[in-house]
Amino acid sequence: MAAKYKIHPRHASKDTLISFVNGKAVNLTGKKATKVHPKTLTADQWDETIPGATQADLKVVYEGGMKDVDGYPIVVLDSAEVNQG
Amino acid sequence: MSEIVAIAKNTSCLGIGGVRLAYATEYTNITAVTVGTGGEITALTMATPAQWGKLSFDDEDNQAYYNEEGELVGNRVVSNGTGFMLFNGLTQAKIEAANQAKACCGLVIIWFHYSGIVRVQGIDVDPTDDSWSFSKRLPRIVPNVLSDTGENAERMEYNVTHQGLQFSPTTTLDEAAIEAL
Repeated sequence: MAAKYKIHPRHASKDTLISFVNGKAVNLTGKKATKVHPKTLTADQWDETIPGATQADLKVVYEGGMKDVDGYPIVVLDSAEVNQG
Repeated sequence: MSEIVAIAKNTSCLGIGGVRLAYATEYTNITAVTVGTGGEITALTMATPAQWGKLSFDDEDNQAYYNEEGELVGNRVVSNGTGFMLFNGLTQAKIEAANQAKACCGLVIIWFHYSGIVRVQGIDVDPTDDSWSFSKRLPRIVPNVLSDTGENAERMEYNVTHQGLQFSPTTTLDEAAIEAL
Protein backbone atom coordinates (compact mmCIF):
# COMPACT_ATOMS: atom_id res chain seq x y z
CA MET A 1 0.00 0.00 0.00
CA ALA A 2 1.41 3.37 -1.03
CA ALA A 3 2.38 5.78 1.72
CA LYS A 4 -0.06 8.61 2.29
CA TYR A 5 1.04 12.06 3.24
CA LYS A 6 -0.84 14.77 5.11
CA ILE A 7 -0.31 18.14 6.75
CA HIS A 8 1.02 17.99 10.31
CA PRO A 9 -1.84 18.37 12.82
CA ARG A 10 -0.23 21.64 13.99
CA HIS A 11 -1.27 23.19 10.69
CA ALA A 12 -4.25 21.03 9.74
CA SER A 13 -6.85 23.73 10.39
CA LYS A 14 -5.30 26.17 7.95
CA ASP A 15 -7.03 26.89 4.66
CA THR A 16 -3.91 27.83 2.78
CA LEU A 17 -0.27 26.74 2.89
CA ILE A 18 1.22 27.87 -0.40
CA SER A 19 4.45 26.34 -1.62
CA PHE A 20 6.29 25.94 -4.92
CA VAL A 21 6.54 22.24 -5.74
CA ASN A 22 7.33 20.43 -8.97
CA GLY A 23 7.56 23.72 -10.88
CA LYS A 24 4.26 25.21 -9.75
CA ALA A 25 2.54 26.85 -6.77
CA VAL A 26 0.26 24.48 -4.86
CA ASN A 27 -1.84 24.67 -1.73
CA LEU A 28 -0.47 21.97 0.57
CA THR A 29 -3.84 21.64 2.30
CA GLY A 30 -5.15 19.99 -0.85
CA LYS A 31 -7.79 22.67 -1.46
CA LYS A 32 -7.86 25.11 -4.35
CA ALA A 33 -6.78 28.61 -3.40
CA THR A 34 -7.30 31.96 -5.09
CA LYS A 35 -4.43 34.31 -5.67
CA VAL A 36 -5.51 37.88 -6.37
CA HIS A 37 -3.19 39.85 -8.61
CA PRO A 38 -3.74 43.54 -7.85
CA LYS A 39 -4.42 46.12 -10.52
CA THR A 40 -1.33 47.73 -11.98
CA LEU A 41 -0.70 50.59 -14.39
CA THR A 42 -0.85 48.12 -17.27
CA ALA A 43 -3.21 45.37 -16.10
CA ASP A 44 -6.57 45.00 -14.37
CA GLN A 45 -6.92 43.03 -11.15
CA TRP A 46 -7.27 39.32 -11.88
CA ASP A 47 -7.62 36.07 -9.99
CA GLU A 48 -5.48 32.99 -10.39
CA THR A 49 -6.41 29.56 -9.06
CA ILE A 50 -3.69 27.73 -7.18
CA PRO A 51 -4.38 23.98 -7.28
CA GLY A 52 -4.44 21.76 -4.24
CA ALA A 53 -1.32 19.69 -3.74
CA THR A 54 -1.36 16.08 -4.92
CA GLN A 55 0.09 13.21 -2.94
CA ALA A 56 3.10 13.40 -5.27
CA ASP A 57 3.57 17.05 -4.30
CA LEU A 58 3.28 16.27 -0.59
CA LYS A 59 5.82 13.46 -1.01
CA VAL A 60 8.33 15.98 -2.41
CA VAL A 61 7.76 18.33 0.53
CA TYR A 62 8.02 15.46 3.03
CA GLU A 63 11.21 14.11 1.53
CA GLY A 64 12.70 17.60 1.35
CA GLY A 65 12.35 17.91 5.11
CA MET A 66 10.40 21.17 5.19
CA LYS A 67 9.86 22.33 8.77
CA ASP A 68 8.02 25.09 10.55
CA VAL A 69 9.82 27.58 12.78
CA ASP A 70 9.49 25.26 15.79
CA GLY A 71 11.17 22.39 13.94
CA TYR A 72 8.06 20.33 13.20
CA PRO A 73 7.69 18.84 9.71
CA ILE A 74 4.95 20.50 7.69
CA VAL A 75 4.03 17.21 5.99
CA VAL A 76 3.94 13.84 7.75
CA LEU A 77 3.17 10.26 6.81
CA ASP A 78 -0.47 9.61 7.58
CA SER A 79 0.35 6.68 9.84
CA ALA A 80 3.50 8.19 11.33
CA GLU A 81 4.02 9.33 14.85
CA VAL A 82 3.70 13.11 14.84
CA ASN A 83 6.18 13.89 17.53
CA GLN A 84 8.70 16.64 16.85
CA GLY A 85 11.16 15.91 14.06
CA MET B 1 30.41 23.49 14.58
CA SER B 2 33.75 25.27 14.69
CA GLU B 3 36.26 24.57 11.98
CA ILE B 4 38.38 26.46 9.48
CA VAL B 5 37.21 25.31 6.05
CA ALA B 6 39.76 25.52 3.26
CA ILE B 7 38.81 28.11 0.63
CA ALA B 8 40.34 27.93 -2.82
CA LYS B 9 41.53 30.98 -4.75
CA ASN B 10 38.97 32.32 -7.23
CA THR B 11 40.10 31.48 -10.76
CA SER B 12 37.07 32.85 -12.64
CA CYS B 13 35.84 36.36 -13.40
CA LEU B 14 32.98 35.95 -10.90
CA GLY B 15 32.61 38.50 -8.17
CA ILE B 16 30.64 41.33 -9.75
CA GLY B 17 29.12 43.40 -6.96
CA GLY B 18 25.70 44.87 -6.31
CA VAL B 19 22.08 43.77 -6.12
CA ARG B 20 19.47 44.23 -8.82
CA LEU B 21 16.13 43.21 -7.30
CA ALA B 22 14.48 42.33 -3.99
CA TYR B 23 11.28 40.72 -2.75
CA ALA B 24 10.00 41.37 0.78
CA THR B 25 7.27 39.96 2.99
CA GLU B 26 6.21 40.15 6.63
CA TYR B 27 7.94 37.30 8.44
CA THR B 28 4.60 36.06 9.78
CA ASN B 29 3.64 35.14 6.21
CA ILE B 30 6.28 32.38 6.18
CA THR B 31 5.02 29.14 7.73
CA ALA B 32 7.75 26.67 6.82
CA VAL B 33 11.15 26.41 5.15
CA THR B 34 13.12 23.64 3.49
CA VAL B 35 16.86 23.81 4.05
CA GLY B 36 19.08 21.84 1.67
CA THR B 37 22.07 19.80 2.74
CA GLY B 38 24.41 22.70 2.01
CA GLY B 39 22.44 25.10 4.21
CA GLU B 40 20.69 26.83 1.31
CA ILE B 41 16.94 27.47 1.34
CA THR B 42 15.26 25.36 -1.33
CA ALA B 43 11.57 25.96 -0.60
CA LEU B 44 9.19 28.16 1.37
CA THR B 45 5.59 27.73 2.44
CA MET B 46 3.50 30.86 2.78
CA ALA B 47 0.45 31.24 5.02
CA THR B 48 -1.53 32.86 2.20
CA PRO B 49 -0.88 33.59 -1.49
CA ALA B 50 0.50 36.81 -3.00
CA GLN B 51 2.40 38.09 0.02
CA TRP B 52 5.73 38.95 -1.64
CA GLY B 53 6.25 42.57 -2.65
CA LYS B 54 8.54 42.98 -5.65
CA LEU B 55 10.95 45.88 -5.17
CA SER B 56 12.28 46.80 -8.61
CA PHE B 57 14.59 49.57 -7.53
CA ASP B 58 16.58 51.85 -9.81
CA ASP B 59 20.25 51.03 -9.87
CA GLU B 60 21.66 52.81 -12.89
CA ASP B 61 24.23 54.42 -10.58
CA ASN B 62 25.11 51.13 -8.86
CA GLN B 63 24.06 52.30 -5.41
CA ALA B 64 21.96 49.34 -4.20
CA TYR B 65 23.55 46.81 -1.88
CA TYR B 66 22.98 44.19 0.78
CA ASN B 67 25.98 43.98 3.07
CA GLU B 68 26.55 41.96 6.22
CA GLU B 69 29.30 42.82 8.61
CA GLY B 70 30.32 40.59 11.49
CA GLU B 71 30.53 41.99 15.01
CA LEU B 72 31.96 40.36 18.12
CA VAL B 73 29.34 40.73 20.87
CA GLY B 74 30.55 39.16 24.08
CA ASN B 75 31.81 35.77 23.00
CA ARG B 76 29.63 35.51 19.92
CA VAL B 77 29.98 36.86 16.39
CA VAL B 78 26.73 38.23 15.01
CA SER B 79 25.87 39.49 11.53
CA ASN B 80 24.72 43.07 11.06
CA GLY B 81 22.92 43.33 7.75
CA THR B 82 22.32 46.61 5.93
CA GLY B 83 20.54 47.00 2.63
CA PHE B 84 19.88 50.01 0.46
CA MET B 85 17.62 50.53 -2.53
CA LEU B 86 16.60 53.66 -4.38
CA PHE B 87 13.48 54.52 -6.40
CA ASN B 88 13.78 57.49 -8.72
CA GLY B 89 10.98 60.05 -8.69
CA LEU B 90 8.26 60.72 -6.13
CA THR B 91 4.55 59.99 -6.39
CA GLN B 92 1.75 59.62 -3.89
CA ALA B 93 1.79 55.87 -4.59
CA LYS B 94 5.46 55.69 -3.55
CA ILE B 95 4.78 57.74 -0.41
CA GLU B 96 1.94 55.38 0.50
CA ALA B 97 4.24 52.42 -0.15
CA ALA B 98 6.85 53.94 2.17
CA ASN B 99 4.28 54.47 4.91
CA GLN B 100 3.12 50.87 4.64
CA ALA B 101 6.69 49.50 4.51
CA LYS B 102 7.77 51.34 7.66
CA ALA B 103 4.78 49.89 9.52
CA CYS B 104 6.07 46.33 8.98
CA CYS B 105 7.66 45.20 12.26
CA GLY B 106 9.68 42.34 10.87
CA LEU B 107 10.44 41.29 7.31
CA VAL B 108 12.14 38.63 5.29
CA ILE B 109 13.85 40.05 2.21
CA ILE B 110 15.24 38.09 -0.73
CA TRP B 111 18.07 39.91 -2.52
CA PHE B 112 19.09 39.07 -6.10
CA HIS B 113 22.72 39.88 -6.77
CA TYR B 114 24.05 40.81 -10.20
CA SER B 115 26.43 37.88 -9.79
CA GLY B 116 23.47 35.48 -9.74
CA ILE B 117 23.60 34.56 -6.07
CA VAL B 118 20.34 35.07 -4.12
CA ARG B 119 20.43 35.73 -0.35
CA VAL B 120 17.66 35.64 2.23
CA GLN B 121 17.79 38.38 4.88
CA GLY B 122 15.84 37.61 8.04
CA ILE B 123 16.26 33.82 8.18
CA ASP B 124 19.20 32.19 9.95
CA VAL B 125 20.31 28.65 9.17
CA ASP B 126 22.30 26.92 11.92
CA PRO B 127 25.31 25.19 10.30
CA THR B 128 25.40 22.51 12.99
CA ASP B 129 22.09 20.93 12.00
CA ASP B 130 20.68 23.04 9.14
CA SER B 131 17.72 24.07 11.29
CA TRP B 132 16.26 27.49 10.55
CA SER B 133 14.91 30.37 12.59
CA PHE B 134 13.95 33.97 12.05
CA SER B 135 16.77 36.39 12.74
CA LYS B 136 17.16 37.77 16.24
CA ARG B 137 16.45 41.30 15.04
CA LEU B 138 14.34 41.07 11.90
CA PRO B 139 14.82 43.37 8.93
CA ARG B 140 12.91 46.63 8.99
CA ILE B 141 12.58 49.21 6.25
CA VAL B 142 13.41 52.80 7.12
CA PRO B 143 12.38 54.94 4.15
CA ASN B 144 13.65 58.35 3.07
CA VAL B 145 11.51 60.56 0.84
CA LEU B 146 13.78 63.17 -0.69
CA SER B 147 13.31 66.19 -2.94
CA ASP B 148 17.09 66.71 -2.89
CA THR B 149 18.26 69.83 -4.77
CA GLY B 150 17.96 71.00 -8.35
CA GLU B 151 21.32 69.43 -9.12
CA ASN B 152 20.03 65.97 -8.25
CA ALA B 153 16.95 63.77 -8.66
CA GLU B 154 14.03 63.51 -6.27
CA ARG B 155 13.75 59.97 -4.98
CA MET B 156 12.63 57.53 -2.33
CA GLU B 157 15.11 55.31 -0.54
CA TYR B 158 14.65 52.16 1.53
CA ASN B 159 17.29 51.44 4.16
CA VAL B 160 17.06 47.97 5.69
CA THR B 161 18.83 46.74 8.80
CA HIS B 162 18.78 43.46 10.69
CA GLN B 163 20.91 41.42 13.04
CA GLY B 164 21.27 37.66 12.79
CA LEU B 165 23.18 34.96 14.60
CA GLN B 166 24.30 33.63 11.22
CA PHE B 167 25.07 35.24 7.88
CA SER B 168 22.15 35.20 5.47
CA PRO B 169 21.72 31.91 3.61
CA THR B 170 21.37 31.64 -0.14
CA THR B 171 18.28 30.27 -1.83
CA THR B 172 17.73 28.23 -4.96
CA LEU B 173 14.34 29.93 -5.47
CA ASP B 174 14.26 32.11 -8.56
CA GLU B 175 12.03 35.05 -9.47
CA ALA B 176 9.40 32.82 -11.10
CA ALA B 177 9.11 30.63 -8.01
CA ILE B 178 8.72 33.60 -5.66
CA GLU B 179 6.16 35.30 -7.90
CA ALA B 180 4.17 32.06 -8.12
CA LEU B 181 3.72 31.94 -4.35
